[in-house]
Amino acid sequence: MNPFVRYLTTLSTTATLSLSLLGAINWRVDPFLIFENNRLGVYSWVERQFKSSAIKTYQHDAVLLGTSKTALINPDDLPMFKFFNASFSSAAPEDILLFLKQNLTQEKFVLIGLDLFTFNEKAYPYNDSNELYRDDLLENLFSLNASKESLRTLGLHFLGRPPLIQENGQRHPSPDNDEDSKGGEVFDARVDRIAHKYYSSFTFSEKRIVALQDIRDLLEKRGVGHKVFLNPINEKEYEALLSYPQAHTSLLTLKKELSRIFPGYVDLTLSRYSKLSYYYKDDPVHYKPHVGKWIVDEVMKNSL
Amino acid sequence: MLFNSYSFLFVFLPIVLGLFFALGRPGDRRAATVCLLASSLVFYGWWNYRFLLLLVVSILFNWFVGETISKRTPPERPAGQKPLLVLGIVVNLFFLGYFKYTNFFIQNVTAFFNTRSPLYDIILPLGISFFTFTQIKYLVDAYRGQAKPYPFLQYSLFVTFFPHLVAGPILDHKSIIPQFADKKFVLFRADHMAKGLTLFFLGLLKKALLADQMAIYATNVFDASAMGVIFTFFEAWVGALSYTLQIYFDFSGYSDMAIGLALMFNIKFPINFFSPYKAVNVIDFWRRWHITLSHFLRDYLYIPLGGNRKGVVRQNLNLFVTMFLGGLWHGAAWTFVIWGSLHGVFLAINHGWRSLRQRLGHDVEHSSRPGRFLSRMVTLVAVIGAWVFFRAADLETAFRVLKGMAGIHGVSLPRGMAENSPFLAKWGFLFNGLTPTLGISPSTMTFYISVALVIALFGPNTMEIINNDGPTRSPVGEKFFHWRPSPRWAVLIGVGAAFSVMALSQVSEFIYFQF
Repeated sequence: MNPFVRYLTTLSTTATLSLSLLGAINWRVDPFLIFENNRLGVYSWVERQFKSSAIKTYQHDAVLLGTSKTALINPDDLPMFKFFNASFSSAAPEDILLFLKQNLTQEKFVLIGLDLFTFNEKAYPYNDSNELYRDDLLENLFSLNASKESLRTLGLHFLGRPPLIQENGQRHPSPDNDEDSKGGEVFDARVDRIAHKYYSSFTFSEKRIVALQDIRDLLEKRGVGHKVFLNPINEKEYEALLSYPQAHTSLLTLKKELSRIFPGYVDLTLSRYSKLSYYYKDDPVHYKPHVGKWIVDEVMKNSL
Repeated sequence: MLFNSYSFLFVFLPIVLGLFFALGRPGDRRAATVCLLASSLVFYGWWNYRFLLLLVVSILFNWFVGETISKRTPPERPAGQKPLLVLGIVVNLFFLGYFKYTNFFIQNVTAFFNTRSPLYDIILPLGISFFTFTQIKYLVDAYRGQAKPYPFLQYSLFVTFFPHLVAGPILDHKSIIPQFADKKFVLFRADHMAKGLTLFFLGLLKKALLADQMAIYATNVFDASAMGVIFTFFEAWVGALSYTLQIYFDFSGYSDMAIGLALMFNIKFPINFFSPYKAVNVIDFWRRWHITLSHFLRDYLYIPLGGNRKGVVRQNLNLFVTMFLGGLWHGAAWTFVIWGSLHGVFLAINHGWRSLRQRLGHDVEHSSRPGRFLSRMVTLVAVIGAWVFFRAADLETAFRVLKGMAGIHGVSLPRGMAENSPFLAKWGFLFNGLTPTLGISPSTMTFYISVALVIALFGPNTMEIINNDGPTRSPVGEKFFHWRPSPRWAVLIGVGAAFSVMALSQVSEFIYFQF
């Protein structure tokens, strides 16, 4: 046989076999929970997929929704109801609305934690699609990302690491990230960077206010009890926010709108939960899970 | 349609290859040639069918002008050919200028006169810089008597041939069009297909594995800098170095894919990159980086301006003007102009240094090892510094990054060094970690950048691997880097192909598509 023809045959056979093998691994490990084969636990950032699926099987009568801040809260610690933590990263109001429309069934209560930064349409463009996440079969079988996550899932599972997301929806905080913040130069630099990302050139999203109204209407129509709160931000971040006049004005506008749409909402923006030690040393954005419990306790107390 | 997309790899390419070779007959190449031309137009129109008309009009116009000019060869060329050449060049540059530079012109004029004017919503046709230069080359060669009248079909295919249409290489009609006339052009050749596929996947791997990974770090630094974030010494160097590597692997990867694709159709494209970061000086750099563009600039701008034939001062001016325009060709922004101008200055300095060494009796073609090492480092640093302008969103961002690279925003060392090196604190060093603001794990970043750097600085390039040239001639190179149609290479490239197909889902455009 012509050596080049043999070369081409071997090349195509190898490529096909390699792709098939990797596709088979990705299908079996199912890191993104697309094929309902995942038995090893969720070690990838697939909150939207996981929670859309897990909410259907996890026994609960209330839902906690919000961004990654509320995702760290342990729903088993929360009062009055058996919560499922359906929070996910950068959950903007239209994402929350979409989630509720697609997944709300027999729940009696919905608790929503909101963040100002998700109302900045410049940094967080509005999600016009009717999808919370992309569900591409080819990509989930054959993409580099899927393969990396499959190998990561296998590795972390066999190393005995806990999954990233618990059955109840709580996001597992990183074990390297446990120390309380004491402020300092590095912390301040990170706050500045985050504040710049969240609050510079702030374009207040009116469409998201409409989404909030739609959330209220949906919950009232279904007779589901609900409460809304504005998440706290740490005191350094609040100082930084004040230096962005547009963002500060937007915060005031948001508070006004929340009073109108959700009377009795709880504003915790700058509160006792803004203390630096309630946040992680290397992460000025997320308060610790036990702080989250205190926050929900206070909000739920206000809802009685 | 991108080369690195499912639709191209699994739909377009197999169909075109299949049809092309099915229609190919040694006695009649017309059907296969028409098929390839039609496919290339579909490829271009896939991006935006409205600009197909522009492409077709451009081809018709240039072919007509070129044919008219080339019908007479010197010294019989009648008067009237030069005005026709000038007309041809002006019309080409007019369209390029309109689409590419209108808003840049408006912005600068209004800024100068401190007035306001709305900008126009002008979409830049894909590849316009490339197919404009390719055809200007043809017109000038026709005027010089270096081009004969070509059949319209072959000329059209030369301009539209999809492997080079949107981002080069800038082809020479003299070497490409005769290949279309070859009887064996339309016949399947397993050796060409094998080499072509190998080159294609090597290029795709460079893009997916190396360029896109470097892009993560570069984007982090440059986008944050554009927002006003200040980076310390190591972070700024991470940004600059990773962009240096990103643009090389991205563009050379694309060129490899283009050359590989062309070879599958039995067409040999010129080499476009040859390990540019191994250059011993800036003159050498431009013999290795975007070779087809630098040849164009040399043959159609630098030499017609006078080259080095009119004294040192004029030579330096010619170098500066050539590179100034070369920078402007890349984009309608002062950052590109400064990048080009910097290279003009570097070239002038390099030529001056060579002259000085020659006057001192040194052998400029051979240097000592320490000398070569030093000149490689100086060249690399100069090139990296210039890339900062190329990548930055604006001049302010560029200077912010450069200041970081110079240590003006501080040098931050690992926290663990604080206790053991108190004297460093006295000298103003910080101990917040190597990348306190960047927020990316330094160890992962260092690993990826080091691997990419070693490949760029010391590894054989794709052309050396495929053509068994350069370092592959050493015993080690022979064993590990000399491509041959062996089972080992087939398995290696097969696995690489699978890997690069997997990377297709992370679709990212090639950098040079924006030019």
